[in-house]
Amino acid sequence: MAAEPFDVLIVGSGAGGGMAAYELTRRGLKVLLLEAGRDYDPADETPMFNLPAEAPLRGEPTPDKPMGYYDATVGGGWDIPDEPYTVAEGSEPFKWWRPRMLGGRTNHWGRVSLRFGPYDFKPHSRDGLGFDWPVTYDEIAPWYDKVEKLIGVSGGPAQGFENTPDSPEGCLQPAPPPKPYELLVGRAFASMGIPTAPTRAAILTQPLGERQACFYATPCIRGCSIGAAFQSTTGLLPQARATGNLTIRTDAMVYQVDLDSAGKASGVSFIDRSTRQHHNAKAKAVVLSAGAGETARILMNSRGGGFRNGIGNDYGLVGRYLMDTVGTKVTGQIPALEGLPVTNDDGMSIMHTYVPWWGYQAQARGELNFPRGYHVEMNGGRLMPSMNLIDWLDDGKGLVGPELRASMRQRYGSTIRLGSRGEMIPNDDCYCDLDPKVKDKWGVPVLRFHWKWGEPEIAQATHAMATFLEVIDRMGGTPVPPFERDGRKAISKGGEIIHEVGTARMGADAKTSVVDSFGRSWAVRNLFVADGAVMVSSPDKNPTLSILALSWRTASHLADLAQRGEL
Amino acid sequence: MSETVNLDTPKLDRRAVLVWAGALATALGAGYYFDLGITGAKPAKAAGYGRDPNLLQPSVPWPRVLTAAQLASVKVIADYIFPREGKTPSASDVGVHQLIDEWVSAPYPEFEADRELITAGLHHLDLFARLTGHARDFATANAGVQREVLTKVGDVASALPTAPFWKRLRRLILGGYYTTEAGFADIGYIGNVALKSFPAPTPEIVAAVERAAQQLGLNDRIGSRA
Repeated sequence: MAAEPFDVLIVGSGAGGGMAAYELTRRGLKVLLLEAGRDYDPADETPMFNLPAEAPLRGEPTPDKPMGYYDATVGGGWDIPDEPYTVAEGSEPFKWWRPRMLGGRTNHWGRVSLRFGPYDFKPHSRDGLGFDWPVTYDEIAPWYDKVEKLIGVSGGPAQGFENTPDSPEGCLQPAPPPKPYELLVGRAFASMGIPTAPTRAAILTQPLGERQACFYATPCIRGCSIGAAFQSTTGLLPQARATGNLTIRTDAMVYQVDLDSAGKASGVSFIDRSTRQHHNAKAKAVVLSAGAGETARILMNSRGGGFRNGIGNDYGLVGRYLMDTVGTKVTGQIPALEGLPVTNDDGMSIMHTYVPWWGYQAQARGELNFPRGYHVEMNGGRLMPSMNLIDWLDDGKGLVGPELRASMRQRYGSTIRLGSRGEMIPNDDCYCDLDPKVKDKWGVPVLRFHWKWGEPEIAQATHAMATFLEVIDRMGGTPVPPFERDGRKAISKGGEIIHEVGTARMGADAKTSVVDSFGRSWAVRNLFVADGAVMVSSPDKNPTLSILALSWRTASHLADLAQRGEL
Repeated sequence: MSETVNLDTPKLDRRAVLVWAGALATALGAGYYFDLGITGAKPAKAAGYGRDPNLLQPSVPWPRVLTAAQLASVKVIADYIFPREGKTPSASDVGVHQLIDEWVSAPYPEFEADRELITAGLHHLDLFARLTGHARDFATANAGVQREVLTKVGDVASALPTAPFWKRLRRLILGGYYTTEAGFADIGYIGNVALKSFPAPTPEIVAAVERAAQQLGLNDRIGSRA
């Protein structure tokens, strides 16, 4: 490996790194991709159709597998042994989900794929809060078009909703029909004047290249051996490998960017997780796609070349403006859904129908006490029984025997779960830095998180819960405890939605941002960031599609520079 | 404190004894189990399945901790909740009692808490069975005694200190039963099969939803969006 002259070295193989590898290798550049986790191939390891009864503890979550036994996540979760992170004293809780596998979190993500809208790139210009991006929606739109076609996004026809961009003809695959329970949920929302729309999902409804169409069974969180649900490991890395230009090294835990005497990036230092040996790898350019947390950590731990606080951190911006998504949830039991004909409701694992944020005009009129919105995700119907689902179905009367069985049959399919995914405005209390004392097992300083939800997020969470309880009430149902009406209690923990972004944001100049509008470091011009770290705002729309679009654009720019000899 | 409960009490009316035991236990509250010297189980020494287990060929690496008598009690309870009905198997037919043993043996904190609760509760059932004067313990009691004890313990209106135990164990048994293929069939889950396409809701479903919407007064305030 050391002998091969690499043009570009990419750190991380998830959405950002996988996308960068795809573009750069196709442009003829020799790429070395370093992944901290082990090798992983969904075709060999995905437990398709495997039943809960075949798994330990019916597949229920444990500290070893916090999202259940069959969750694709390898080697990680909320905690990784000997690779700690800390939460500062006095901070609100923060959780950090990390896998240790090729493809990273794309192997288990929800696949909800919504474009950011025009407002989302210029939030400060609209309401004076947060910050504007150095790019507009129109500049990014062509990259969304390309990404949707490449990874395969299914969705409905143009809807014309405000700040919820439709895709041009030919970008999307057809959406599947709604699930039966969604029809009634849609009627309840409609009765409140709130429209629903087909979900945008990175799940194929038609074959795409080697990848097969979804067969509407087996949860996407397990990964997808047929490639229907997009993962870097099926949708990007195989194609990049096929060029012959990609070298992947797994179990390579990168901890710093190395600099040459001229102050340019010469490569990175990493630890082989299996041998514990330190190594250097060299390339003409470096792309950090390790995820917003790990990318910030690498930058802050890169203290050579006079960067006393880490690369690009002269103004203290690395780690700043850390954001997540606002989440709330409630389950409802809906008697009106009892007795519907027996159907197979598996479908895609995620909802086929969602609710885009509907309140832009109300916010413009000053009718809402929070400035930024949320969309609604849902599930329900005749889901594969799990311990949780069965608990929600139990009527609490303590029935046994035939009466119990009859009650459960009657109520099965009548529970729905509503969840909000809302915008968070960046604030000064949410950031990560290096813990001054704690190091990981290799002696590398670890991240310390600082978190405090702002009032806008809490008010938004309160609104979401009130909306959901009204929807459940309008459907004649009852909410299933526990749930909270107070947004302060209902709101998810920092990091819990696993949408952490914004620790190395892009901007117009080096004093207010870490990278330029193409993800190119202001401080080290052959160093690029291509993951959620570059985000300037965290709209309600789930970030992965935008990470892919931005990474593709960054990689394309990098390839242009390389071809012009300007690296 | 242990002198308070005289297990040699002769021939009291069984029902009266149960009521008395319940009242006593309620009065003593949570301290009851500990006052009786019931410690539940030993701390787990076993390892979990780790963060990279084989998902295609799962195995359970930890040893089971329930005694034969405790497992027999769980089996009785599971089948009290899900007896065999015609061709529909009982809970123990599909191994739910084994799941409970696996569950309370798991070396993870949440599961260890369940072990404490459930083994203490099983001990309580033994006590109740003995208080009837017709049994040495719950597992070997005759079916009538077992049913009487479980009826009492499973009464959601009862204030017995076994309420948390019963609620939790019942929940695990329900979940354990319906997460089997027999449970799928019983409750009416027909998924986990590959489909060529996802079917649109049938006219029958659309009509049923429309009826429900009308009954609920869900008037569309947006207008039809075909």
